[in-house]
Amino acid sequence: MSEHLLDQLLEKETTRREFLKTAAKGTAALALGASFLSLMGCSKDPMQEKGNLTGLPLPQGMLMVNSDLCIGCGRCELACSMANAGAAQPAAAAIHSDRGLQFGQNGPKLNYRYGDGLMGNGRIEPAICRQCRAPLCANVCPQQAILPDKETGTRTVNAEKCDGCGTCISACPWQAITQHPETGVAVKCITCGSCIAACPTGALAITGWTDL
Amino acid sequence: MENYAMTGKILKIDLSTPAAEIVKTADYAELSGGASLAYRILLKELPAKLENAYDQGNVLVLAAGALTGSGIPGSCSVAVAALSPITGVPCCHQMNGRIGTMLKYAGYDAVIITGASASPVWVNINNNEVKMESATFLWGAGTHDTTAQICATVGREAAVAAIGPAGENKLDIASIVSLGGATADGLGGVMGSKNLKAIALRGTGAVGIADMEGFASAMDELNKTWLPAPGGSVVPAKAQSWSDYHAPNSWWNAAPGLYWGASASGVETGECAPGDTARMGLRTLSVVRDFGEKAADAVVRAVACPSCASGCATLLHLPALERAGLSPYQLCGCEALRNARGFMPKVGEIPEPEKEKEETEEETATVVEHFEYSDLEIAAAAASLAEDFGVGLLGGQLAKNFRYAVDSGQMEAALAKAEYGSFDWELYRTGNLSFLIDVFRRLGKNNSKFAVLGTADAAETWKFGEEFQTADTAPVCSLKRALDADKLHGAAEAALAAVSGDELRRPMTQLLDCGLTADAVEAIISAHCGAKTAVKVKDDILVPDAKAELMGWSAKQSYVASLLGLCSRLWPISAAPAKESGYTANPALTADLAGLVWGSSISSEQLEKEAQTGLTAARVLQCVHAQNLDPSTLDAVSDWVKAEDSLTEAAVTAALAQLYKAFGWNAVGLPEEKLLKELGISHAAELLKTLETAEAEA
Repeated sequence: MSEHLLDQLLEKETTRREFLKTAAKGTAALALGASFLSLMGCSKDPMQEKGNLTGLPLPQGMLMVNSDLCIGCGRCELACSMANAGAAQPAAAAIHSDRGLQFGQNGPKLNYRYGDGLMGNGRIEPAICRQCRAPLCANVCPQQAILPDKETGTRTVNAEKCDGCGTCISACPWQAITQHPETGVAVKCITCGSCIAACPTGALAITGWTDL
Repeated sequence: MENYAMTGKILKIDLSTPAAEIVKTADYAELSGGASLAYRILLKELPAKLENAYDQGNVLVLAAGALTGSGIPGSCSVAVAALSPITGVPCCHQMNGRIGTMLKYAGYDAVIITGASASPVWVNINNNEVKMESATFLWGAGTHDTTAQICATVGREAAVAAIGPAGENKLDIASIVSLGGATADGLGGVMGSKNLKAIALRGTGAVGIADMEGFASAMDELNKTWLPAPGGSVVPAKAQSWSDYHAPNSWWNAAPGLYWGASASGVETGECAPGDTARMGLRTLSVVRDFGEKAADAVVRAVACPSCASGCATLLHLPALERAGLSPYQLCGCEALRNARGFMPKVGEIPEPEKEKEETEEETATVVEHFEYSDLEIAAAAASLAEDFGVGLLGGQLAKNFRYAVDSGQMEAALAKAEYGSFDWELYRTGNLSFLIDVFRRLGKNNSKFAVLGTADAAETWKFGEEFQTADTAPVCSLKRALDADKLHGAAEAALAAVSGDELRRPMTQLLDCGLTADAVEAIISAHCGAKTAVKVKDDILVPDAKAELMGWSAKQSYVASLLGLCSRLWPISAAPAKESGYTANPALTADLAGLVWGSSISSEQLEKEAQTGLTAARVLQCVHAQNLDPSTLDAVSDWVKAEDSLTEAAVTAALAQLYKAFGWNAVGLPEEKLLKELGISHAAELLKTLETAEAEA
């Protein structure tokens, strides 16, 4: 039954309100288990009548970085783009090391010598998706193209639905989502782990999900 | 051949007009890159007669390698070439850092810059958009501020190659600077003469990999088995459980108890055995190799160029530098610190001058504050100032010249009293870094006699004495490129250095210094260079035929690495760290990787032929611009080098003859018409004919 529910959640074209309702059901379903859910009866769940519900099934894992170990080589970006975009193309990667390398993720400031980045205090930290409990990228997407993966709960872009409007990019507080330079489709981390294998200092790992 | 990694496009910018156009890479070469492509371009584009390197006709080329940006470890190199203000003949420097990869991702194999702008500009390249922007507001700024200002304008991720005041004022040794200490000594003035403050690149494109599955598998094997530490080191500096050997001078100096001491969590480098791919980036602490283990206390992190698994640059935290108004955070490239060491005396090294009798008690009570800086702090300050003012360190020669000139009294003799007296020598004596800031400021301005120090002829102009001609101070080769070798590996290495600075000899030097036993090294030479006769490395006695093969291999492999855009500190990979590999890397490794990226097989011989073409093109350009049809006269090795290394004139001459033969040049080291046609650079033959005619007429 939960499988059926997730299929509905992921594939069915829905209105925003329907999406939220279904998402709430999904959360409940994963939390309570299929048998209990069938006993209580989804259609009679009182929560669905309250309206302002947000939430998606929680992911099983998330990518974490130990920034003390990062040497700024950008191999994570290259591996990510090779695995997911089929070419060595850092701009199409779902982990973002290079763009913050010189001046940090917020760019150069007047006191850049003391700011983040290699031109400053040396602090470098790749921007990565935190797989938010209530992801703003998914919430603002007019196409509802960002949904949890069936197996892992990882927030994933449905490339067919994404129309490249870029709303998710502005919404993400972690600057972790970007657009493929050629197709315009949103690109975000799917916790495939290719970056981890490429990291030469073991700075990256997939850990159990934590709400950051 | 379908080639995924080369874009087939070259951006040609004429600053005079100004105008930009895209030309085909195939107009210059079918399959090339790096130094080979740069020299091929100069053969066609550089006028045979120029007043000097600052002539508006000089052509600046940035050529990425054919595998730059592909993700292979160290595939970030870009060759920067032009007529050199230092040597007066065309030169080419490899720059690492982010410029090369950004150039490729922006969609170009190379950028050619001709002409000169009427007013200061910087070039803004964003994929297929090219703009000339006014640099009036940047003129006079250091390279750090220039980079920050440009990135604030176009985006934090832009890769910027900039010049400082030294380049603007056409100091001969001015450098082009990009993040990570990647510099090209001498070419900063060429940019300055074109009124070109900086080149900013942003690229979002891709380097395609034809056989992704095969490539991934090859990379896995490369990382686990073949990849050495920088400098070709394959054994640790201290004995470790995983290695049969160790060598104190190894770049693989990670060890238990050795920490990145200034990192927030105190990262321990530990044992980094081959195969442990999650610790590859911890293998090297170049600052410890050059300044001892105490230097590790200042390390925030090792830093790597794009796609490199070995962080040979270092980010340091040195709070003492704030006392001189410098940032306490310094990013230093693998060679920058070594090249910048020794600029200032230590406290007490120079005795306090005797006080004059008429001094009052009140005056004697005024004491200059003594700051005792460590060698590392002095070197980091000098490296940072050199980078910011855009002054090249000439492989350490600048510091040697400066200290010798000051300490021997030559500088006092050479400068007018007013100029000499305008320095605050008390600051120098007390080791105050404020003095160093003054030195680089004056070099950057290049408007005084002191700036002679910023030319390659300082030793001659200021008449340095014979005692300067020692291994510790003097430049090594006739082309005035300083070398970093403690001792040469015999005549073979001297010959390579004489022909082209330290680049050609690097593959050989790195192999001979890889840390393995003489027997193991001989086996590697046999496998890689095809030397059929025994080569006795120990005692530096090389069997003549094998020596010629080794020299030829070294020179060509240096150009193969460059044409593919691979860092010369890692490539060619000849010795391997993994015991199970027998310490010998696959000789076809480079060609195999290129084939996987390009989608069709390519042999090592094909790559070596293109390397030979690049070398030969460089030689022709050298002859044309030195107006010398007997280039053997340019390949002289200094007397003191021969004395230092017990080399006879005959041994050096014999080694040079073998080298010429290996390149297919004639007895005086001149490429002949038949060879030039074979290599597909007939244009070079025409240039030599014109020179012959001119000489005959003269």
